[in-house]
Amino acid sequence: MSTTTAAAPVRTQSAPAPKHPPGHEPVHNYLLEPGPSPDVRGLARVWPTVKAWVTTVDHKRIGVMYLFAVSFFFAVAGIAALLVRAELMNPGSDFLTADEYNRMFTLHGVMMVFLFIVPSIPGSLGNFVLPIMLGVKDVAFPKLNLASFYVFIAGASIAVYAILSGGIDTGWTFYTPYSDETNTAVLPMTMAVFVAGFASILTGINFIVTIHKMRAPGLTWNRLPLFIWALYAVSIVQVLATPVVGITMILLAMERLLNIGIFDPALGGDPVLFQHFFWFYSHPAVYIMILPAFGVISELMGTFSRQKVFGYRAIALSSVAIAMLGFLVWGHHMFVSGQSPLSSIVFSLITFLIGVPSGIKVLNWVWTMYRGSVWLTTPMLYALSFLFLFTIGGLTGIMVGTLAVDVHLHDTYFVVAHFHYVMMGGTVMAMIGGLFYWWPKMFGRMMSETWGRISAGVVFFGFNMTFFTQFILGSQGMPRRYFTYLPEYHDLHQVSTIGSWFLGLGLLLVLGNMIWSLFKGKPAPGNPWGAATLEWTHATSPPDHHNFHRTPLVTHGPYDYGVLFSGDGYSGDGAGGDGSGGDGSRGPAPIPNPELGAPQEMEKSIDLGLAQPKPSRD
Amino acid sequence: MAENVHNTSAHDPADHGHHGHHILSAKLLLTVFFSLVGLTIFTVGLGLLEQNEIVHLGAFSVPVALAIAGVKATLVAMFFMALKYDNKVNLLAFSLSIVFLVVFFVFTFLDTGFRGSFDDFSATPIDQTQLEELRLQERNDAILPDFEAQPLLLQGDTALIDPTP
Ligand code: HEM
Ligand SMILES: [Cu+2]
Repeated sequence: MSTTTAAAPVRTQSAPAPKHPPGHEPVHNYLLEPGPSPDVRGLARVWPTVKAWVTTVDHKRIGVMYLFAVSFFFAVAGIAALLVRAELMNPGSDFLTADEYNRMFTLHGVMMVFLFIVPSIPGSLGNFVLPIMLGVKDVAFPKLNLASFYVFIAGASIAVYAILSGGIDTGWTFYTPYSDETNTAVLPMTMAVFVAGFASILTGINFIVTIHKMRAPGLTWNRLPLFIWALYAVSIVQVLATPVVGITMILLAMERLLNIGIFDPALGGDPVLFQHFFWFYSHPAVYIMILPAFGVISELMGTFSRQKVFGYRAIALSSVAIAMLGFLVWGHHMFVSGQSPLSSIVFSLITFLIGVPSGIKVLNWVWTMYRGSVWLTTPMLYALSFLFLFTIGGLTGIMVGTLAVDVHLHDTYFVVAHFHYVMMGGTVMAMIGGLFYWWPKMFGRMMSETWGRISAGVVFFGFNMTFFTQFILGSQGMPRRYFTYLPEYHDLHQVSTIGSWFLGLGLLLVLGNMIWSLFKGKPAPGNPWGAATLEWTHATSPPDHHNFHRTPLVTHGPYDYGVLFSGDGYSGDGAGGDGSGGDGSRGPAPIPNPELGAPQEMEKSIDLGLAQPKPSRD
Repeated sequence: MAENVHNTSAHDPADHGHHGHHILSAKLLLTVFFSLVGLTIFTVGLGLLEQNEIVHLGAFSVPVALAIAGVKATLVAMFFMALKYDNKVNLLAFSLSIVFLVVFFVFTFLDTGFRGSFDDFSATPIDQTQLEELRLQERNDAILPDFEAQPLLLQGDTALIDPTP
């Protein structure tokens, strides 16, 4: 029998009536099918398997490939970070020269920002979960989705080339006029950023169209899971903002190559204009980084508090508000750049405003736990870490957004600590929490809870040890991006470096847990956490190649956990049909045993007679 | 809605009907084309007139040029890009991108237009405050001798205090 590497045959006629009772159709595990048939054995499987994966248009496989890619860059950039911290253990040069140090932190920053954190949650978890949450077979443009992955890989390859051809020492911000003058690999690196940006845009377009056009019947805007709302907001930002960083990089390249005066004062340009261009993208980009994390946290808070997410509409719309307001605050990065005081004042004011929607979210999450039955699984522990760390990060953001205070704190370790609290304490914590949460769905295996909880503790401890010290260092005047320092900063730098080892250890525990679970983890039930969104209620773990056998019919909001446990599958409370509002009358939903799982709702679907017929071989 | 879960490619040709392109008459297209050419000539002419100081627009020079360019861009978008006849959602997307550009320009001009105006925003410029402080100090020094306290008793009254211990 020949290998069946091609995508599933396209059906032109309606299929015969399904032979299986609802919910008991044979599952075509997306991890294995399409792929070589089971009678191909040994090494002969390798090539067909690889080919089936790299040419797939299945959003789930693309999500998994994104997951591998971003994890790889996270690891590389993380090692660079550990080297930077190790060099800072003592003042003066230990094993890196000043020049190498500059290249090292730039490598860390560029990779973390453009190759890890921007594509991280949308590319991996978003790609995997979004279509299933919407009850559809795939995103609107599956081939575009695959293209986005390869564009990303192309960008990453150019970045690797730039690093190999000598690296770059400007910092991730590429500020002119220095980036005009340095003879490190500025051009290839900016090209890399330019190309990788397109991957973001393609993903964004895909998500927007999918959300608008393809939602399953019954899935109204008021019933969209908050993760979808967040991805929707983030997609808008990606589509609107990313072209600007592309343009900026092109302008920089034109200036370097053709000597056109844009940013270089020697040629009649304006160096501060570069900062306008750069932050016009990069401040919205920090919301590209954090908004998906907000979405993940909303899912985790609901599921693991066993009750409706409080203030559903407020959370959904504050994502959109953040996406819009986020475009109007970029000047807070330029308070001491020589920007006019008038714009500094205006930008400082709007920066204060953006704290409001962020605060709305945090308060709503806290309120979601109130009177719930908080279930301290690993994903929830990471969500709680997020809540602590993001709040610190956000509030220090308001501090540095205060014009007069920032004149002192700008370009010190205080800013470094601020953005690590939001990017790592926020986005990375949410991503790990989300991975622990969706892992059983993605790979059909449970991770170790015990080791998961230990890792959450170690990461939380290591993170604070590394970065809280940097708030103190910064407020005492330690400038950022310096490879040496005065003796009075020695102690805190040492604490921070040792903290980074704990942090690294914690992350290794996470990695180990994942690898362990792939081989030894207990098989996951369809709905281990008793969640109420479609990927849990209507799909197997791991999902079928086509996600669903029949189009799901959505009859309740994304956080109506109680509905799953009430006898006939529907509680009948007409008012609670959407995601908003708590009903107060019922208590929190029961906590299921994750190894057995909670009830699913496979029978709530629409049978159009289009289900796949039983393939001959099983 | 995604009823067709398993049905990847079946496209009903009938539901393509309303997406068809609106056909514009050659006359309309030519009218638009010549208006564009006309406006271009107008811009260039205006520029020449200004250069030769026949017309004085002063500060309005750039805004006027931009306004004419804006009209031209609108014509192109409406007729050549057929946004006038298209689904209004596309018009919305197009307009939003313009709004977006305007945001970028306005905030950036808020900077470039007011650069170096720090002193205007401080209640008292910092160097004036310092100068004033200096003057006060000098005045203080100058009048200090006048305020030097004079001892009331120049000589000790030996009669009052018994010098012998
Ligand atoms: C309440 C929300 C926030 C506010 C008010 C805020 C405010 C600020 C301000 C004023 C600065 C500039 C400080 C300076 O350079 O002197 C800054 C820097 C930064 N923020 Fe935030 N921030 C917020 C949230 C975030 C989030 C969510 C992220 C990312 C996920 C983020 C990432 C960054 C980064 C990367 C920088 C440093 C950029 C650099 O100079 O390299 N911020 N933030
Ligand atoms: Cu910012």
